[in-house]
Amino acid sequence: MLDQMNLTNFSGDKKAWPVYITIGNLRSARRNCLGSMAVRVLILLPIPPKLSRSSKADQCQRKINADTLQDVFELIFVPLQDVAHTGMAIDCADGKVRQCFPILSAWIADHMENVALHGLKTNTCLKCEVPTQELGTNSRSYRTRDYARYQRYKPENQNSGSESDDDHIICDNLGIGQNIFHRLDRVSASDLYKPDMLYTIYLRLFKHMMD
Amino acid sequence: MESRVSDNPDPSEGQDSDCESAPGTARSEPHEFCRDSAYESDNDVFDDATSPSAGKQIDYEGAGQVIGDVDGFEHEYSNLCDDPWAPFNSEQGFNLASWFIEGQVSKSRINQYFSSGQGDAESVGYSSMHMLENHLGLLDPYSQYLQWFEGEVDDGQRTLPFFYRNVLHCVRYLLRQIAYRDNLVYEARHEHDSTGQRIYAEMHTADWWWDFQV
Repeated sequence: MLDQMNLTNFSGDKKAWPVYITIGNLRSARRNCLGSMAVRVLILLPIPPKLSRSSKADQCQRKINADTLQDVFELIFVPLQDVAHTGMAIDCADGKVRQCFPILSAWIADHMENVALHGLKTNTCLKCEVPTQELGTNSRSYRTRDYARYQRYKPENQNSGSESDDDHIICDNLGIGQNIFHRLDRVSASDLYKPDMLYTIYLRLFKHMMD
Repeated sequence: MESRVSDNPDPSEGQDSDCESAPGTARSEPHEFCRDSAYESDNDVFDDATSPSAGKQIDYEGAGQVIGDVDGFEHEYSNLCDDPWAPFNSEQGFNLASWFIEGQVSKSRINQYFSSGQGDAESVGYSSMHMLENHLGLLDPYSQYLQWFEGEVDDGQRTLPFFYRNVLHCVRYLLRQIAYRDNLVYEARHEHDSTGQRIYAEMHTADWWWDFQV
C-alpha cells in the first residue's frame, strides 16, 4: 500500500503551505479526474517569515526554521514507522479487510522544497551523487544517494572510524543536513523524488521546443 | 517543537499469507512510472543493509491479502443502492443542497428561503440550515478519519500554529470509499502486450510495487 504526497507553496495575501496525500492503489485516471476527492490535505504547515540572505541573524533563524520543519514532519510520520514492519488491517472499498503496509513511495515538490527537506544544497541532485558541474550532461551514471549513510556521518551520530574519508568529502561538499525521511525505515529517500509532469516535464519540453 | 494535541493511531496487528500477482491483459496507456536505469545504483554500494535498495529485500508478509470482511458492509452497500439520495428525500433535495453549498449561500439566506415558503420541505427533506447541516454530516460516514489536530512550533521569536491529520487515518479514509470500489488495486502486476513486450502503465504495473510485494 502506498502513500503519495504533493507539496505546494501558495503565496499571496493569504498564505498556506499544504501537504497533500493520496494512495497509489487508486488508478490514476480516477485519482486525477475532476471531483474525485482522492487527494486530501494532510498538513497545513507553519509559514516562516521571509529572511534576507545577508544578515547573520537571519542565517541563524533560517537554520532554526529548517529544524522546526523537520520536527513537524517527524511528528506527522510517526504513525508510519511501526506499520512499515507490522502492517495493519484496513477496511477496503469492496467490503474486505486487507493486511496493508502503508509505505511512503513518492514525494512531489519543487526543487527548492525538495532540497530543503532532503537536507541538500540547491545545486545538487536528489537521486544520485552527480557532481554539480556535470548536472544535465548525462555523461555517466553515478551512485544513488544513500541518505542513511549521510545520516551516520552527522557529528552527533558518528562512531570513530565508521566512515571512509570519501564519505567525509562527499558530505562536507554537500553540506548534508537533516533528511525528513530518515526515520522511515523502509523508505528510500532517493527513490521518493518524482518529477512533476506538468511543471518539470511538459512545460520544460514546451519551452525547449519554442527556443 | 511542541505539539499541543496528539493522536494515537491504531495500527492493527496483521496476519500472514501470500498475495497473488499475475501478468494481466495488455494495455496501451502511456508510460508513467517507468524506472530510469540511469538512476540505478551501480556496483559501488558500501553497505547493502542500509543501501537505498535495501527495502526491496524485505518481505511484507500478507501484503494485500484479504483477512476478513468489513462488518456491516453489505447493509451499507445495499442502503446506498436502494436510496442513493439519502439522507435527502430526493434528487431535487440533493441538488438544492449542492446549489446552496457551491453558491456559498449564507445560513441566514437559506433559513429565509424556507421561512418565506419558497422551499418545499417535503420533497427536499429539510426545512432549515440546521437540518441541512445534519444531513451534510451524514453524507460522509468516514469523516471522523479526517479529523484535524493542532500543533504549534516555536521558532525562537514567536509561536506559530499548524494543523495536521493522522496520515494512517487518511489512508483508511481513502481505501474505504465505496466510490473507488472499481478503481482500487491491491496487488502488483506485470502487464505485457501481444508481442510480449512489458507495458508500464499504472503504478502497480511498474517495478517498485512488484519488488516490495511479490
